[in-house]
Amino acid sequence: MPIDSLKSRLPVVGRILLFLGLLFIFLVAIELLSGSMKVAGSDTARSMLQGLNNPFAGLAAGILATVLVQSSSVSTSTVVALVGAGQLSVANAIPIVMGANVGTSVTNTLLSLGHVTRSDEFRRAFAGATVHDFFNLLAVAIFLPLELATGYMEYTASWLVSLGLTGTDTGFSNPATAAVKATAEGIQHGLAALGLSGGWLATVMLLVALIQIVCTLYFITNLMKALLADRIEQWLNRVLEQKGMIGLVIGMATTMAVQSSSITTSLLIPMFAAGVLSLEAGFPMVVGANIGTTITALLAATVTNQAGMTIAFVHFLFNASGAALFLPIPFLRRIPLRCSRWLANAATQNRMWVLIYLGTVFVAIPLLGILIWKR
Amino acid sequence: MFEWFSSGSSGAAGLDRMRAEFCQMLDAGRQVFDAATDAMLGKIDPEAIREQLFKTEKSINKSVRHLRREIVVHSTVHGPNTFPTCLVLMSVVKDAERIGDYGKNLFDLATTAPLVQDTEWRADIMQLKELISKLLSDCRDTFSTSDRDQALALISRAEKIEDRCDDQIQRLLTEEPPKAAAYVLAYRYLKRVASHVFNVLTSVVQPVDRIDFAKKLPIVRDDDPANSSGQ
Repeated sequence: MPIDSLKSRLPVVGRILLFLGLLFIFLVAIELLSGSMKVAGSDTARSMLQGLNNPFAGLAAGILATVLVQSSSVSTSTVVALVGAGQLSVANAIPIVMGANVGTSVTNTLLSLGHVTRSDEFRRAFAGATVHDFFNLLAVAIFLPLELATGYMEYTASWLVSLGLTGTDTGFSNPATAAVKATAEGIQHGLAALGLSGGWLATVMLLVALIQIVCTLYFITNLMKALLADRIEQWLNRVLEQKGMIGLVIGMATTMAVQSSSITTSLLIPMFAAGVLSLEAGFPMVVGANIGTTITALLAATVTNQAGMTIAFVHFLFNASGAALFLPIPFLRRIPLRCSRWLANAATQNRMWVLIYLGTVFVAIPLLGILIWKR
Repeated sequence: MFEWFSSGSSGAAGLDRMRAEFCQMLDAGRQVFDAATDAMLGKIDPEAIREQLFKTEKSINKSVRHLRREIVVHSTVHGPNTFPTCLVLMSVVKDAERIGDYGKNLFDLATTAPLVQDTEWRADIMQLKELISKLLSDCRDTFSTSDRDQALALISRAEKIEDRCDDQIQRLLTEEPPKAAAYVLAYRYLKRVASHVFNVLTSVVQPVDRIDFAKKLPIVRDDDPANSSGQ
């Protein structure tokens, strides 16, 4: 049954239960993924992830993985689970999370290609799409070296977690977390009862968890988008009516509601293309979507431990730092806008620029990064 | 949270809001038309209404842009199911805007060549003004209710007004004295207003691709076999 018809038939309580049920399955998947790493044994899992010790390899892996799954929520949640399972250190996970941010922006860049046959539309759509890319690339260029030099994000995130916000080993536990753990253990025991053990059990658990994460996020995103379409429409109309930072709040709210920054930014592409939304007015919303998308990793971290919660907070801090740096200062704000306009103009004059740009930023550089730095 | 999950998401609220704004545009267009024609016929001083008339006409233009933006947002959020309705609105807002434009043209005529002399023509234009004003008002109601039968009846009335304007233009072009140009222009604008009302009404009864073209293409009726075969 399509979600559109489901929402019209389900009573309100049913919709809430459906959402909570999907959220529960998502959290079970995170727990299951952590469990699969424990079953695999720390040596096996660590050897798989050893190549990511180099931050540039981690960044490249984050970009590539997110481009492949077309969802930063999936990749960041997976990273949270790996960190929570103790198979990946927070320091090594930070570049991957940054890479996930860059990788997720390819979705709306691809979407903007739908306007390629009409030059003016395409120029506006491509600029609107790539402003997200440039913002993320600039944020990585600034904050990754800064983090490597100072570790300020890891330190701040650890401090926030130490305040006792959540996490099972921070002393805070609740029936929902206990139910999530019990269900994940039940699945693990069920698979073991089928005769699976050791590496095979870990592999099947990992596959089940990944499929579960992808599917539940897909359904949560679509359910929430369908349920909140009227409200999102009102919010977008407000962005068009009011200039300024309202877009940041609306971008955040929309993304937190639908659990996907790609949904938010993809909604903006036709508006950019039609010329009803200027690049200046849409940019804060794109940045807001970046911050809003961190909610998924934070949710995933609620069933992990302090380390899992720390990397989820790093994801939030990275995006919040980018917003704090680029939005309030006009000179800095203009940089991603100018970059995206320049690229859009070049791509409108010669479409080869599109291929060169996409192939270089989202495929060639990440692949080379992994090949070179993983050694 | 409960409120979020209970909120409507069919897009009906957005469409209702846009349709309501469009109806306000038709109301504003009628106000401009009535005031401008009264000034043209010497019933009121053009200067007394100038400011309000231009303000109203400006509000129509603002609504056109606002509605077009809302249409883009609505179709983006709610997807392909809403495209037919959005395309209809996109088409008819242009007509509502033109009604305001022609009202302004009639006002310009009132300031340069008012029709103050009692003639057969002036009497005819006064009659036409009443007919068109009523047509505009009925058009607004019909659009908001999507009453097909009423729309067909109004289309017939609009066609008659257009034909009457054409006949009078023809007469004036072939008659002496040549100062009839003002009347020609008056009839021209009156005809255009009626034509745009006609276009709005066709949106109630015609498929999207046939909006505005009912004169060249026959109105598609539900019992038309050609319609059922997708012609």
